[in-house]
Amino acid sequence: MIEVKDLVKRFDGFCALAGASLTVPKGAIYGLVGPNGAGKTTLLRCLTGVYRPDGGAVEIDGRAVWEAPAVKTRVASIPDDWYYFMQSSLRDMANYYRGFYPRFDTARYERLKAVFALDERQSIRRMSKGMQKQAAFWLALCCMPDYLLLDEPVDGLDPVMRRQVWGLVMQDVAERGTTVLVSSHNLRELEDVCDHVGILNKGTVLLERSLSELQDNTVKLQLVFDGDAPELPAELTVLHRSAVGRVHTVIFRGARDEVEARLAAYRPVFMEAVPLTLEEIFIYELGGADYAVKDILL
Amino acid sequence: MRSKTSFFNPTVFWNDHRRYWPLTAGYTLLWLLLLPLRLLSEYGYERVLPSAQNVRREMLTTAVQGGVVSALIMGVLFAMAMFAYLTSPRATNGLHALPARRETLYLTHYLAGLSCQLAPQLLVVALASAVLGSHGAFDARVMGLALLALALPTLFFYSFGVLCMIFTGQILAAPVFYGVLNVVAVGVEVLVRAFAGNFLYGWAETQTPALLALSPVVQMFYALRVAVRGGTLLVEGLGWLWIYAAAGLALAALGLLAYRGRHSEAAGNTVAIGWAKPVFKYGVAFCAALALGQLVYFLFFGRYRANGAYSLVGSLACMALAGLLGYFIAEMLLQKSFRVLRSGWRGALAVMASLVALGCAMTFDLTGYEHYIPHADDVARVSIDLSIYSGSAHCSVTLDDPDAILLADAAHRAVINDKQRQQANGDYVPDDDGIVGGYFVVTYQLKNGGVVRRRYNPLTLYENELGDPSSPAAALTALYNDPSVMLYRALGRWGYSAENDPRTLPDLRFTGGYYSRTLWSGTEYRGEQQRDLSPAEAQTIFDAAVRDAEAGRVVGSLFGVSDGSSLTVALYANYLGTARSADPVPAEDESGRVQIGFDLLIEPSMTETLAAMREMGLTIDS
Repeated sequence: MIEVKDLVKRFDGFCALAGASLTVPKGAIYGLVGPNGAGKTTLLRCLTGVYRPDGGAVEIDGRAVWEAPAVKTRVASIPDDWYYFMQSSLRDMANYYRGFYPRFDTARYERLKAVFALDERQSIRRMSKGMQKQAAFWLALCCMPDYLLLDEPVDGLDPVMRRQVWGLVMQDVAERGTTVLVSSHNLRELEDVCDHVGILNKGTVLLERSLSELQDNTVKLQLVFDGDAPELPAELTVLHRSAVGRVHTVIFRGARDEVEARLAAYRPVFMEAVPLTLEEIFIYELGGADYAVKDILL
Repeated sequence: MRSKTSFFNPTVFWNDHRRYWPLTAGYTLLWLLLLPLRLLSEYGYERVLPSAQNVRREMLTTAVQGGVVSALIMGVLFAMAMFAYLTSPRATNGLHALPARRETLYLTHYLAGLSCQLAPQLLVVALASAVLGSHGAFDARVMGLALLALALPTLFFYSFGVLCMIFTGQILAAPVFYGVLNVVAVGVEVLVRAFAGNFLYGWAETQTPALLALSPVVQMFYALRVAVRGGTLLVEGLGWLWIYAAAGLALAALGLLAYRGRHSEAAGNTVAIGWAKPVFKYGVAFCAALALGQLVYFLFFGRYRANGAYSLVGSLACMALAGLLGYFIAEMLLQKSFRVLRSGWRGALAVMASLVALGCAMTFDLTGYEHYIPHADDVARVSIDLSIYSGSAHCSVTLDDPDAILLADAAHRAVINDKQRQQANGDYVPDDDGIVGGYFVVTYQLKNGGVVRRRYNPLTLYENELGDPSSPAAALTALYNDPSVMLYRALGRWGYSAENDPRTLPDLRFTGGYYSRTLWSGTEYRGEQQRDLSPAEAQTIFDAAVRDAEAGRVVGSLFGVSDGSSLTVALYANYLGTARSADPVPAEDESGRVQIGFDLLIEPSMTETLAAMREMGLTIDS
């Protein structure tokens, strides 16, 4: 489990992280969302032991990450600006990583040649940005990490390769229980893969939720009534309501079965649950005046 | 799970070697050319085979001199290569994200860079040994010395370069810091001396030996020399190399501490360590004030105090402006922005205020520097250096006689009391009869080990004041003609101090001498008497001069005019022992005796010496 508690990080007086806290359960795929400059990359760099926190704690399985190689051998990361040696090829970098990660899996490295159509002898410098990203994934997955930290991981990848890469990550999560923390400024990109989401803004985590928890507690229904829409029962919490002609779209807080059972009493001529996007969930679930979530997400 | 992390990571080590092999290869090639190949060519092309000792000496000299130069250059290059990743945020983040402690990364990169230099050194010395061995000239001791001469400076300069790399996040700033810091102690001392000399009457421009040691490259060039002692090849100053090697290890340890405290996000910063930033900022400001400020003042106002055009306000203004310029440039480098006026004005004010305060404190002698004369009871010895430009009067001696010390005190006090008039003269000496210009340097060595030194240059003396004992002319003449000064004055440069009294030299033997005298009849040239002196004649003249001095017959005048008629006799001698720094052009021969030569100055009052010379048939009168 990754635990970040009250993390503070300042750069020359500028506070990039102002007491950020988040918890990534073991085996989860956690999407960290936030606008540019929210502090996502800084938080990930604290998690990979690159930055020394000015305050708070950064722990993986209860152990501080800073200067803890034993912890870091279980963590692989793909930063937005992945580093490789200027003249090195993929094979050189694989050899280099092998010297740091005791579980580096050479057999897997060979197997992944079939997935990533890269020339392992070619200088990485001469590869395109997307190819370099593939190389980074290839090496990171061969490190057999328990924790995979990804910063804007699929930028530059074509849609086919995106799907393949996420497939490999999902496979690791399913088979090895790998915990994944992935940051992005785009919530739509993450909604297909994440089971937990946290929103970071101005150096603090505004909220974090499990998607199942959110989805179980929020329902979006399209309703058509015979005649005017009736007054909905006061015990149902309506988060949002809109109407186009006779079709009413209403987002309720509550379990779907329970809400549908109550609405059945009003005899709607049509009632159907519509899938909620992550954006909708966050916006309407947490659309209170205190949160700038809507601005962050849209 | 097994952790591969320790204080050394072989992957990093060999990766460094693989990545920077061209640098290592270039370094190896350089030394292959300088040592084994050069030795081979000597044996191959010399018509007469050089002696084994000469070849060994040449090899050792190359190793000693080349070792320092190559270590100075390659040390920083290898440091830049090994720690280049610290200057790129992407590379820093990439390497620091790997499962390795900072200590592991630092030590492994450090050792990789060191081994890239030591391995070629070992190779070239081994090959040079093979070349010498093939000609029967192999000497394991000399080979060991050559290896030390290469390796010890490398250890120091490379560690120093590494420390510079840790302290900066800009790859090009590292060689600048490295170059500046290598000579900063001597450089700043020169600037401070010039600064103080601009404001303080009597400021003595002396070099502090301790500061020389803080400028390693300068110290090594001064100290290192290959010599033959009793037929054995030696490296003089090798102790300094050991000291610097130890300092190199200390710098490496300091580098480790700095690396541990260095933030990854400092990559790209001019100064990467937090506490070093104000040191850099104010250091640049003060150095700019001292160097640029004084240069500007020199260009605008001429030659400082000495030409009489001295301007306190002008000098301070130039230094304050240059200090401000340096301060804001440093601030721009630190902030990576041109907009530093708002954030830096407080510091700028502090720089200006301290420069003005320092200048005023010196000008108005708030520290009492100008008027300070040590109490005679506290003085162990006093060194006098007095010279008159237009005449032949010169004396440079060290005295420990209490009466002589009192005379030196009195002369010094007379010069201090004459400050106003001396400063008004500037470097202009009135062109009148009975007025001479010269310089006076007095150095007190105190009983507590302290040293007080003052220098008055130029110093104007007035002959018509000889009757006034408190005048500089009278007080300095009294000192000049003190019996304890006479012998050393007669012996000229050889008699700098009682310590160097030739009579105390072990087994002093005169080997001869030379006398030359131009003869005139009125204004008509009558020829020249030139004669070599036998060892006995040289000894006789020297003994007579000593007796003249002891009897107080070496009387001179500060106001005498040099007309080319003064008498000198060159005497040659040797003694058993080690050459001293005071010996003019010392040379040690194969027998271990130090050869010396000096000119004995003969005043007209040295009657016994003159009589002895006449007896030898030497023409005294021109």
